[in-house]
Amino acid sequence: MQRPLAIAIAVVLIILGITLQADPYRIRDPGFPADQQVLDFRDSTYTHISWVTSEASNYAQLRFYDRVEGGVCLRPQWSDLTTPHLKMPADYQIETVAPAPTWPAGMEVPNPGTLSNTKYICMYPLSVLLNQRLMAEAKGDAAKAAPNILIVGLGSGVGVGMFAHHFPEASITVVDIDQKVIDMVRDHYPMLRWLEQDAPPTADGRKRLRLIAADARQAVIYPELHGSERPFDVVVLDAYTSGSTIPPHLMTREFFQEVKGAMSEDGIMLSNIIGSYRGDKRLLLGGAIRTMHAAGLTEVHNFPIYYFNNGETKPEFGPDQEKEVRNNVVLASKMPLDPRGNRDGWKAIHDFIKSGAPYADLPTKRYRSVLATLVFDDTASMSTSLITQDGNAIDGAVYQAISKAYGNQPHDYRRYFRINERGLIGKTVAAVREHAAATDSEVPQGWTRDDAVALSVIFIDWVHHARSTFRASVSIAEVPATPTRFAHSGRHLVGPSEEERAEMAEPDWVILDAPLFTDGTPNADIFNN
Amino acid sequence: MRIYALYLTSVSCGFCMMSLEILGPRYLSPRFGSSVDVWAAIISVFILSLSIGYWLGGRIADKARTNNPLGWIILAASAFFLLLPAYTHGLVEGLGKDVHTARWGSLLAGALLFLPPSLLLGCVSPMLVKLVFIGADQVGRTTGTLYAISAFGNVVGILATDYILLEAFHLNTSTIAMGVVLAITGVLHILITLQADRNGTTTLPAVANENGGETAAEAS
Repeated sequence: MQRPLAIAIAVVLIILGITLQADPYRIRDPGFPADQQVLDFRDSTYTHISWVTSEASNYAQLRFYDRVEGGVCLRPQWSDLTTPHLKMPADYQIETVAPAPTWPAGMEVPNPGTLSNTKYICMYPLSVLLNQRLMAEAKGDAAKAAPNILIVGLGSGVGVGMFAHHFPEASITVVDIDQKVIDMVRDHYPMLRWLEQDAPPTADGRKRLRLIAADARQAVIYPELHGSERPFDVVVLDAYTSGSTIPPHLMTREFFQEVKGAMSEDGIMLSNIIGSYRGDKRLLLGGAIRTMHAAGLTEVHNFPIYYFNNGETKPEFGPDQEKEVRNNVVLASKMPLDPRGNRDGWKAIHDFIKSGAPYADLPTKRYRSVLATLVFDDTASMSTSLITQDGNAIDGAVYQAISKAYGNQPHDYRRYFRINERGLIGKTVAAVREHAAATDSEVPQGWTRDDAVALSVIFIDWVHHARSTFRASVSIAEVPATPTRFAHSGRHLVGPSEEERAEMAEPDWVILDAPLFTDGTPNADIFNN
Repeated sequence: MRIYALYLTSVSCGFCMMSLEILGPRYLSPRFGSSVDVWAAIISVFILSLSIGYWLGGRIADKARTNNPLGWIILAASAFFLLLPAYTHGLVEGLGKDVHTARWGSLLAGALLFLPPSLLLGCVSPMLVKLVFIGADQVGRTTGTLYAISAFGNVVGILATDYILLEAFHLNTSTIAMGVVLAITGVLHILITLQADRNGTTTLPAVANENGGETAAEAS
């Protein structure tokens, strides 16, 4: 009796297990906005990697599980770029790697350019502009600077794109621990594959891009691993694990010393650190800054990442923002980085801005996206989107709704609207349906209903977005240091020496109690979680 | 032959257990990250389950007259392996936002997910000791050999999972494949015991007496 029973149970279990197993993580629930498509997904030793796109929000994102690890704008595409060194060669054949079965048949496979929808990436040029030697060699012209760059942590690869766009003579080495991430980016970001494999070398014969699978701790010590011709002028630390934590061994005094050893004397280390000046996350940001000090990178300057919203003209950074958890682009070097100590560098930054950069060569009002969401009383939001691809008109319906609601004001790069007027909502819904009929596509989910109570719209001009992010963050970081409140350069963030503290009536240094991360006490990932 | 079959059971159970320990953080990291806290949670859950499993397995072994219960225990463990890919997501998400901290959250989720299967596999070693036991004067040798073989299975499980399974297969596929191996192992134990029963070798002392000299030589 037991024998057939055991066999039956085993067979039933095996069948149940195989049929009931959940889909790969990201495929199960692509989430919001509803038009997301999975271009490809893979498993690696470290994580589940997927490459997700949304026409609505104009992004292709690399994700570890459901966490975004960096995003590239789908438009401008590579073929839209006009900078000579990145312009797609006329005879270049893009090898397309077949997308996963989740990609709709017949849909165009993305071919992104260099614009990022990840804000902190826009700050990368700072690390070259503040280097006086590089800028002097280039006679002040950023486009002639020839930096040697090491990036730790590939992500979507758009950081490489940002550097390559602005510094044609840059030689970039990327170290990532996960070969599968490198393969994924090579397969689905054709411009990077071109930079790595087919692009002509720099004027002085250095390779434009190297992608290396190794642990950063090893790659930094062993030149034979990274293969760079000369010491690095810039080291970008942007390694995050799938839990959005920084690996603790890449956040210690000893590691920063090794980075310092791999850099030229005036090299600048740029780190992306999620933290704040006050609240729990001050321990992480402050600890990182204190640890950089301790490693001998004594000049630290932080660029908190903010952006203008809804027509603000001036970014503010006050007590509220001190507590806010955000991306911080922390620059550390042996050379002065603050506006007083490094006047030439800051002049280079302002010249860069005056020249229209970042992305001076890309037009505004061309690469825009509109994410329109209907809100109902009874269910979650439904979304759709209409993306503009040519210069002057966002697809009719939503554009008209926005124009009417806001009296035809000129649009900033990023606006959020909530429209409650029934008539206007009805018109928009009708126009979306017409659009669907005209293009022979399906009416988006939810847009068949007529009882929406609100329409929310997020409007973004992506080129403007990148510029404003850069400019806003620069202007915040330029606020002169005041000893009793916040300041953005290292010494003030970390706090005064013991003697200075004793002399202060009421110490209010921002990150007074930040820990020191060493190989012996590498507690960065605890603070991260 | 019989003793080699039992050794094979030991290796495959050891393999699957440690393989699950390497796969475990991959099930947790979408919500809890992959910090040292998550690893600590996983390792402590597995060691705890071994502790309970050894204790429980020893007691079951003394009561068992055949290796039949062992088959059922391995089959039960296989059920968890086979169904883990189906319920993990719902369970981890269902725990709610409050326990989504790397420390207590991952410990709780790790216990719910991995304690049952690894506890069942923890029962296997003491039960195998009972099955291959051939006499009080050989007890050290018997247990030593079994521990060594089981630990060898552990090592192969860890390295094969890291070097091969995680590289080449989807997480679900690896887990289900091990569930299949365990299911077959469990069923075979149930089948083979029944056959031995008909041949008149019902109880373990009888088996031990019959094969005593031979197995002692093999074990050494």
